[in-house]
Amino acid sequence: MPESPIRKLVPYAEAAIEAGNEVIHLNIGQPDIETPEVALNAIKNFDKKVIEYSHSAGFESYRKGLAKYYRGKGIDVDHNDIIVTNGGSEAILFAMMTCFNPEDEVIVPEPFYANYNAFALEAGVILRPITTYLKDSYALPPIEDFRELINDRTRGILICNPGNPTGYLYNQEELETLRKIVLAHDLFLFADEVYREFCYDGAEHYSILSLEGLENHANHCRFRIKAL
Amino acid sequence: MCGARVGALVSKNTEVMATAMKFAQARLSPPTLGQIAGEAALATPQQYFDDVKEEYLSRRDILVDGLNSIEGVTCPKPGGAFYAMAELPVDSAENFCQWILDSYSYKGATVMMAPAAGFYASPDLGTREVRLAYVLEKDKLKKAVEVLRHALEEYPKTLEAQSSAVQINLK
Repeated sequence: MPESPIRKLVPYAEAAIEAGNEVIHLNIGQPDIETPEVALNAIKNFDKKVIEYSHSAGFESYRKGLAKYYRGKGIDVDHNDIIVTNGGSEAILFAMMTCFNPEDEVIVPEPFYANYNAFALEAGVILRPITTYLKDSYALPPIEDFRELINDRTRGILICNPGNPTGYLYNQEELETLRKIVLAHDLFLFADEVYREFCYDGAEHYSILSLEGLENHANHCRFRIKAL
Repeated sequence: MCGARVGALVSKNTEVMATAMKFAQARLSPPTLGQIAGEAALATPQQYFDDVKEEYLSRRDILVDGLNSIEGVTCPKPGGAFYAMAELPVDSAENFCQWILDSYSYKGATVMMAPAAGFYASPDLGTREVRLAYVLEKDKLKKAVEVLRHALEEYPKTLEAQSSAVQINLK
């Protein structure tokens, strides 16, 4: 289990602060943007006497609200297609434990969010990296590169769109390429779309849920409410 | 609101959702308070998103354009999220990230970055790259770029000094 690249230098940062220096934190994605007021008010106005469990899939009203959000983005889902999770992380873990057996292989473009290593380890799944390069701005590698990695234990492909750590936003053509691969090899396609609201330069986010014919292949993990 | 810890698994595959539901039941419930915040957040006005996106866009440009103005640094402009990867003119980004915290400051400030090798599963990749998050206010990002610019000028000199010290010791 590798050490988190995001946190491993913490002792050195503490030493720098001790020495009287300001440490500018570019290492971690903790935004200083204020949480939407409507959300803060909902917490402040909480008036129940007991903080109860919710339904295991999450409040039905919340799931209906999320389904409406997706439909507003042209994605046809209803609340039965949604399980609310403990951050996007738990959604990825559940998806792995549900779709794969120990020793199954999942192809993931690298560099990738380092905590995927931990989720894979927990699910007993083997991550097979497919390298993307800085010189290409970390675009999706050609379809042939995927074919070289696919063997009889390959069960899925996991992407992060837009990407952490690369910030790369997959275009529709690249997602169509993935669609072809997963259909040809009968794989699951997972997309971590936690940053889907953050796309720049006029580009629109294209979700794997919009790809046709993948109803039985696509899982999509979103939010950790960082999306807001 | 990352600390609300609310996410969602979304799939049209009913068999997958039925099995995922068993795991969901085993952990009883997603966070109740987080869901209250999340559900309320669905009513966030579009203006909020527009403003936040504009803010991130200008932060991205300050950081990425700033980094690319430093000799030897390459940083492709990201199309989304709030991270950027940059290649630095050093042999080991990990050593450099450690050095800048440990032994360097410019006008009382230093910079913490994530060495990128840990984001690769293949060995020996990303050793000269770092991941940077542009989640801080613009003035801090400008300052961070200046710290890096000066640090990257200084760093080769310290390496030279180290290696000549080693040579002296060998003599």
